[in-house]
Amino acid sequence: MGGFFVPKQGAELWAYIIGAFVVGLGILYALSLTPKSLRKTLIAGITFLGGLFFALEFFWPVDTAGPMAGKNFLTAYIKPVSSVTTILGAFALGLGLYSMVSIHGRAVAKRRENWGFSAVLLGAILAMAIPAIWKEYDKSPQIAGFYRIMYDGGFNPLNATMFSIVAFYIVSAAYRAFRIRTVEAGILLMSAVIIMIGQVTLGQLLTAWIPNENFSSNFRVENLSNWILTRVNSPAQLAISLGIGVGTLATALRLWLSLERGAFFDEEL
Amino acid sequence: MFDFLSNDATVRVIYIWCAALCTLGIYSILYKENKVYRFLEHLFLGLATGYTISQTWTTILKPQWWEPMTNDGQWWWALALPAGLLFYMVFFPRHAWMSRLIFGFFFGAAAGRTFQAFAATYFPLVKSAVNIPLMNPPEASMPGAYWLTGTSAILNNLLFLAIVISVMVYFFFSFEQRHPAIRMTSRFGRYTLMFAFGAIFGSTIMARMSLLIGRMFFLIHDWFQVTVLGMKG
Repeated sequence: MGGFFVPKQGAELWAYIIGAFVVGLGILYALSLTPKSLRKTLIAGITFLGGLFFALEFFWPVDTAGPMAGKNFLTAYIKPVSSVTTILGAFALGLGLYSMVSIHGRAVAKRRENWGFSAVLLGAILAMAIPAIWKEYDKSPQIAGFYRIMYDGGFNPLNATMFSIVAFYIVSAAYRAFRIRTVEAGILLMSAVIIMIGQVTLGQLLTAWIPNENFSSNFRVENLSNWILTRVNSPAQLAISLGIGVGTLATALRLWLSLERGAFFDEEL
Repeated sequence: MFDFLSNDATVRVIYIWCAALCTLGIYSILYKENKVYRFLEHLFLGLATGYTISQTWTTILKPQWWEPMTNDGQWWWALALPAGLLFYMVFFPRHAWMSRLIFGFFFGAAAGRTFQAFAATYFPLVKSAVNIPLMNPPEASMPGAYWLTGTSAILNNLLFLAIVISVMVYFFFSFEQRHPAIRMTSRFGRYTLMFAFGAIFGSTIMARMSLLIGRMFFLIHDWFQVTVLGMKG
């Protein structure tokens, strides 16, 4: 067994790779033959197995002294097992890609209304993905230059500008919708205004005349802003995080043991 | 034909002009919906998808899967491909149920990782909430401290603890909050939550504003002054 799971080289390596792939396909074929009555049990079993390693590593007692202090025999395997889940997760990218390409590909093929935009989208995927991957293998300056135009001239500014226009929308929405009708709304507005004023130089100038020493410094807007962030916002967010943590733990336990209900778990297979 | 792409100065001029046109085109939506914005919106979506594909290959699949398998001889990674193919069973109605095997595996793994995260993230959070000095705070002996520093540090720490408890009480829905003490604590929690939401709202606006300032600086300095007018940067 030890000789089997050792790195191979040359033609032997490719034989093993192809063999492993074929064996994997064989396992998929065998799984496809699972009777309907056993499918749910099989899915529940694999869900349980998927979480078993991390759960065991969490619950297993740790060494209290020595080089393995605070760890158990499973701790060393966290990185490789996480790597497996990351790799498998990366394979799922194709699902979203297929969906996007099929919708816009059909729009182009059938010359639907605004099909030109769909063609731009498909072209942009290729124009970014190909040079970005190509430059990993070909260090020519032309590829690097083209990638830089795509990244620094397209993706990067578009990304920053898209997110920056949200500033206009937030302010516009707040102006239209926000009315101080309750104490809570007043507190929220006051807190937001102090935080915003406290972060800009012009706002800080408003209270710059107050000496920045002793008791009076507490009334400078930048110190008030900092106080709200660290002494009021932090504990409130900490309490929210603790609540989220407990809720997530309960949900995780339900998912792991397949006790959760909903379409994924209840639908007939 | 594409030799100009190897000239750094030329590439810089091209990408600055592209970036300026993209920036102005996106801001055109602030006036009204138009074709230039729609074009750039689709361009952005396409570039972002292309970038995600490239990052998935260059930062995950190539270094963690392909290279260990083909360069280091770890052939067993080939088994990951059929496992990954399970995702695509969703496109075959007869075998669509098989995609649930891999999704189930991920549900399980995510649940298992939550146990780890609980230990790594939430235990230290609880510790940080209760591990604050209510007597002899270190702030009192720091440089610049004055007669009120120690008292205010203790009051701030008490307030910190009170806010953590009151917000948790506010979110405690297991029984009806009838008792006046619980109702008052819960109300205090609600008020402090409003402070926190205001702080989040203000910080979000300021973060977007800094992006906006960044784009304005780019347009005025990098593009107009340096590239268009030829002024020194």
